[in-house]
Amino acid sequence: MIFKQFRYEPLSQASYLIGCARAKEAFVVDPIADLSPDFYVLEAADLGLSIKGVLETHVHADFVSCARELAEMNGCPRYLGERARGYVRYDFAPLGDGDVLELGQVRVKVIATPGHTPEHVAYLLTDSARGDDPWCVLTGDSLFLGDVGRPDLLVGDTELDIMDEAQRAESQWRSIREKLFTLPDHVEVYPNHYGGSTCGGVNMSGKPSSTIWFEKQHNLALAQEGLAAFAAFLRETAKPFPDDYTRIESINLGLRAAEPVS
Amino acid sequence: MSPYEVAAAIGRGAVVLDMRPPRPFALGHLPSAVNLQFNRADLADRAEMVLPTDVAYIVHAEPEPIPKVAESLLREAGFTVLGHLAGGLKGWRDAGQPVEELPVIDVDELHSSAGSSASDPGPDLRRFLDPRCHPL
Repeated sequence: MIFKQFRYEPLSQASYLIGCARAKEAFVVDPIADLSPDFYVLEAADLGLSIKGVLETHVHADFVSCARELAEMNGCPRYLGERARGYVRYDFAPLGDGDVLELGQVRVKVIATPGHTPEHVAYLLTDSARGDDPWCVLTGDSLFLGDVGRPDLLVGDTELDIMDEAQRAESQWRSIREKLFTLPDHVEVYPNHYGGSTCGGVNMSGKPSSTIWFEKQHNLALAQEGLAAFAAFLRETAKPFPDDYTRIESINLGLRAAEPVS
Repeated sequence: MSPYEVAAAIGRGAVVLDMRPPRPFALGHLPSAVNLQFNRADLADRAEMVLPTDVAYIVHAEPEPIPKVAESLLREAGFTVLGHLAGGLKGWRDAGQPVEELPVIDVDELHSSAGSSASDPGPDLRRFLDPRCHPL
């Protein structure tokens, strides 16, 4: 398996290139427009890989996605959790809990992890060239290092935001404890954000990877005793809202066009 | 360059450098194209090792911006590059231009089709040899 993490430091954002060296094919996960679609095309080409799919863990609120452009350039599907149906205004390839995407010898298993957003999914990666055990999980904005994705980034449209903050906090608590924390201890955790990102609270680590075991032992948010304490903890340790998040999320939902950066 | 311009240039002796991975190249490429894979790190070095400098080249790579980057790397290395194929292989096919294929077999396919006993010779690999390189 070819695995590259791209860190965009101004937003503490991480996107990923996953590839199979034998099939010469790649997926890009959570591409950010600030790096540009060209950046990902050239990174894949440098490794001799053709981009066969663009995957997103969720509709982002703090950075503009370039998944649509990247998928169009490569003539490949753009994948998103199936619950985004109805509230995003564009076509995408829907992914359900348990779906598996094949990338040569790499298997990408979809884990529905609603919480930060309703359509949120995580991607569990297995490299059969190395072994049949899962190796790492791309957790998006569900499980962070030391913290979790905040449940309170709503665009303010109750028709679009089908879960309120309390429902999101409960879903996040369940998604992580009942799904991600039941993965084998050795599985590596690669989040969509780290450190200073405003998608998590003040306890996020700046380190961009961890393991399921370490987060089970030492994640402060998830060490709270029960859902009520967890939800209260998230409110008390929240950072300010991301800059311009209502506008950015509206762009990523397809409700308005991205404006050129001046 | 449009498919027609590329076809005309090939007719005048230009060589197409197909910079896509081997599998898409094998599935279909412009007639007489040479497969020279793209990467930014050492494309120019590899080109200098294997390509003559007295020929004009046309780049075929997909998608943008790979062809533009490849063109500039080759020009910086001193090669004559006429341009790149606009619209990729799809545009070429849509323009009714001929496409060549090259049979390929990867390690897994070879392994699974190979003879399991000494008396079984396995697949006839001669069909995977390019007669331009390996006269039969």
